[in-house]
Amino acid sequence: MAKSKVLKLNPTSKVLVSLSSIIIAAMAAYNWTVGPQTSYLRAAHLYEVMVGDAGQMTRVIKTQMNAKTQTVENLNAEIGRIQNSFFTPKQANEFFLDLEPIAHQCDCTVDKLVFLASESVAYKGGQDDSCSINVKRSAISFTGVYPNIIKFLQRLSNYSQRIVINDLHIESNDLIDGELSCQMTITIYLIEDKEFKGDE
Amino acid sequence: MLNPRISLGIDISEHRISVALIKQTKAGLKLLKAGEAPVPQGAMTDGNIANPALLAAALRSLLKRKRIGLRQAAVSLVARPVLIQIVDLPEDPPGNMSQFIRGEIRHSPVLAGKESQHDYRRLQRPSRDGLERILVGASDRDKVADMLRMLSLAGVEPTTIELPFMAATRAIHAEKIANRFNANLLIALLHGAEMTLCVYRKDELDFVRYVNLSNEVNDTDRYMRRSEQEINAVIQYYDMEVSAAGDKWEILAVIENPTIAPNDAEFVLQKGFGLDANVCSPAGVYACTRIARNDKIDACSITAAGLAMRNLNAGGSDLAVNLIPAEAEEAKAAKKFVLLTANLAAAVVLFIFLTAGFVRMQVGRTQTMMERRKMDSPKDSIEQLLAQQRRVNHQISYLSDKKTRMGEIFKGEQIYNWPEILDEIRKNIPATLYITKLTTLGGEGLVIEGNALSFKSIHVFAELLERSACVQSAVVAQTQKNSQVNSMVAYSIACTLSTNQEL
Repeated sequence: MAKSKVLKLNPTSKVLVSLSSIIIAAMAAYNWTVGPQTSYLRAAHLYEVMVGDAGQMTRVIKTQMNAKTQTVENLNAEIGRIQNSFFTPKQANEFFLDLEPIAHQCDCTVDKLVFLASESVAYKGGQDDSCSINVKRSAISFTGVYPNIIKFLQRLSNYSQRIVINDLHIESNDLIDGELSCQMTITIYLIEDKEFKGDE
Repeated sequence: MLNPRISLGIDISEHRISVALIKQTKAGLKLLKAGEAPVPQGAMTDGNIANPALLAAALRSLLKRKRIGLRQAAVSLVARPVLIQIVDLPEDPPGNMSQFIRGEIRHSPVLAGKESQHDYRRLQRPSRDGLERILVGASDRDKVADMLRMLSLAGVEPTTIELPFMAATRAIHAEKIANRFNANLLIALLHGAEMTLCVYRKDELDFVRYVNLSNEVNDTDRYMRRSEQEINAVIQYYDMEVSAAGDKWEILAVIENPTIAPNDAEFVLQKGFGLDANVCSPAGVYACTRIARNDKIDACSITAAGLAMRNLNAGGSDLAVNLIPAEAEEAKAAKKFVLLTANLAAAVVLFIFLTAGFVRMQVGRTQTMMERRKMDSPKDSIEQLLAQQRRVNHQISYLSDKKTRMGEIFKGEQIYNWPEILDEIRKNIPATLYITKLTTLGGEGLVIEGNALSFKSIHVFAELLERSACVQSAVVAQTQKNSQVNSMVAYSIACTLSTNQEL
């Protein structure tokens, strides 16, 4: 009897016990049913933010990449243009071999053709860069009338490669229409470039 | 109660169910609704509930017909036997009043051997011996339980179960009982097959007697005769036992029996006793009570009105007992508590269910959005793009360096358009001049040497050269008479050439 009285709850205790039970059950139910979903939503939100940032970053990088790719293309074009100024060793040999026939075609008579030793210029490739540039010179002496000398020079200037004429010396004791003696130094640039060779 | 200003009273007698819905306003009491219905055949036997379901259906039907939504009500006791008794307390008041009353009831022939349900109220007037007195109301507990069951079936939640005479005296107290100091007032409540007689002496309840008229209820004449006899007996008792022979008497009959006509009752009482006799019947509810007139309602049970007034604390009488067992009150409280807890739990479950549904919907929407975003987003990963960017940066750096170094090879190298220069020279040679030598001067200039017929022609030649696009400047550097050829002048012109921009 006494035990039952002790165990009997008063109304306030009943309310508290019931309220606590409901709260505990509600929290448990919330944790079991709603909690995981809200965690997923939170994670999804973070993922969305991250994906948004990544997307924006990707767009920025792609825009930069487009600009840089254009720069690379421009650089390649410019380098290609510069590379066109160079002779390959084969082209150089052919060029020097052609000098006498060209002069002949221009009604000039070659007296002397001296090939000077080639020299390497400042440009050197890197460690893994096989590109190197050499300068090759040739001193030519020939005779011909003034218009033919012009014609000869015109033929040289028709080459797409860079041909530098130095030490030009034209002399005659006769009148302007007479035969002239002409000396000049022809300088060309040779490139030893794997890439360039590959393009050939 | 949801609205304590509105109260419902339900009076059930042997023949009739009456309801009264009263509202307490600032102006006073207002009768909102009133109605009555006959007790169905077989629902009650000998003043007790024989068929609770049948009676409950009738009550429910009445409430529905009268459109009374309020379900908490004060209800009159429908049970027999009933004990109503004024008990003198001993000089030393008992410590346990309930136990004392139970002992008193046990000696009563009415409830002897039965489990009783009782309640009491202290009376203000002491006994003639100067002892404190209490008014005890009691009935069979099983009958009260039957009544509670019936009310439960009817969907009525009783706030109190009270003796009908208490409700009736409460209703008429202000108008008919209070301030009757110069006369003894005998009130006879004719409530179905029961009659309760009570005497108010000097404005205080002094006597009460419960009379069972079930043997006379079907014969009006006998019913009235028996009532008359009982009233007469009370007056004689007072004349002989209470030394109140010289007292003036007033009789008030409260008729709650549809078989008794109020006028007949008044006539019988006046004729029988030669006294002023008043009759309060449902038709005279406004005259006998404080309830303000409602033109839409003609009649209302006085007992039902008194019951409704109890919950409003609007009666002048403080006589009130409640025969609802404590267990029922506890059960009611427990039921209420369970209901509240269940509602709360249901609300919580509903909340969680709705929240879960909402969150689930959000999750679904998020998943769809994420899939769409995944489809819309670029396929390349940032790592790949960054690696690609690094490669391109490296390539740009390499190509820029290559271009710079290649450009440096030609730095300082002057390219001249020799065919054009020589052609220009040829075109601009005056007729009086010829060239003997053309020599480049380092990398920047050209020296033209020759002979001319006049100084002027040399300068003209220099001017013409200077105008040429291929020549930036042409300056006559030297002129000298030719020693070998008379009339000829040797000259030297220094030219600065324009470089060929195209190469």
